[in-house]
Amino acid sequence: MDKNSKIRISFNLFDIIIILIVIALVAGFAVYQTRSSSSGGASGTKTVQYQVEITGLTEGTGDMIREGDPIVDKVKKNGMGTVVSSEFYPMTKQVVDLETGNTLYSEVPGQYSALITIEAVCSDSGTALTTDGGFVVRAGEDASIIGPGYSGGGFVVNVMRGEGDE
Amino acid sequence: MSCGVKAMSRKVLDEKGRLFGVINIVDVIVIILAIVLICGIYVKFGRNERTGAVSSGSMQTVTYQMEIKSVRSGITDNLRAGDKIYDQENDVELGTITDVQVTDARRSEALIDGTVVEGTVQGRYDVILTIEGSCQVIGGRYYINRSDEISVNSDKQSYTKYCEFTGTVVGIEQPEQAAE
Repeated sequence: MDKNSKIRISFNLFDIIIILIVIALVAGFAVYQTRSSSSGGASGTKTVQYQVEITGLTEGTGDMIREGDPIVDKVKKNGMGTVVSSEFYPMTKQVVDLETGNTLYSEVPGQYSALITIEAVCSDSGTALTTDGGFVVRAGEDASIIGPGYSGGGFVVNVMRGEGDE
Repeated sequence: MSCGVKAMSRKVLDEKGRLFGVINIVDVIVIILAIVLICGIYVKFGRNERTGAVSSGSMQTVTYQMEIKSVRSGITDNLRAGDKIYDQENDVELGTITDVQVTDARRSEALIDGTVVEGTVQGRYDVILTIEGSCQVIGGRYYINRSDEISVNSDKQSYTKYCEFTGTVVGIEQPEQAAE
């Protein structure tokens, strides 16, 4: 093969400047991301129990929710844990008594809610508890769940926190 | 004339595509884009009229109150003194909770006769959090952790490790008052 067919790689000054700029940007982004995720202090994993309330359910749903059911996020398919226990009761809706001004929760005929206690092994980053599947366990968080043969939407309403838990 | 134009364009861009015969036009475009990107990052994360005072300004401990309306017991049970609180939008630490006051929730509602009364909300609670944070005070404005401005009547979508909520800042103690 003659020298014309050899591949010659050469850099001029401006190519080197561009490469250095790109390396600096990537390094800066990596440092920023690392700093953001490490704030608060990680402290390993722990088993957490939390409660999810789902609403707008049909009457037969309560019989389908059983201890040990694996629960998954309906949208992202993240693992959320397994069912420990559940309660099934008539769904309520917020209404105002126009005579007293008090806000009440009145039962909605034909619709039901379920309060599901779920247990999961979570990583504790110091600022969040996250299941192995990536679901952030935090009271007030939206929860759209799927179990074996049932699904529903609602919120995480409670996280069981021990007295000494930081 | 056309020869003159051609000669001039050859001076600007040579036959190898190099600007003024020195640097490739593609390299120039990439460098410009990189400079714009760096400037954008600097503006977003770096110096501004506030952080310009950072190097000379000092951080002060400021105490402020945040009110959370009509939440369930799962939230109130998970708000404790000592918990750190963060801004949901940018994950900036807003401070540490020093006190939690929980009362039965109340809400103003119009009655059928047109008057407005403060009624109760069944099964819900109002919370007043007292929060202590490191703050810069610049021109009478408060910047928690050098970046997140707090002001009375502003809403903050916030979270702790155990719960998230929307709170309203209802009071800020002047640093001199906090020292008393």
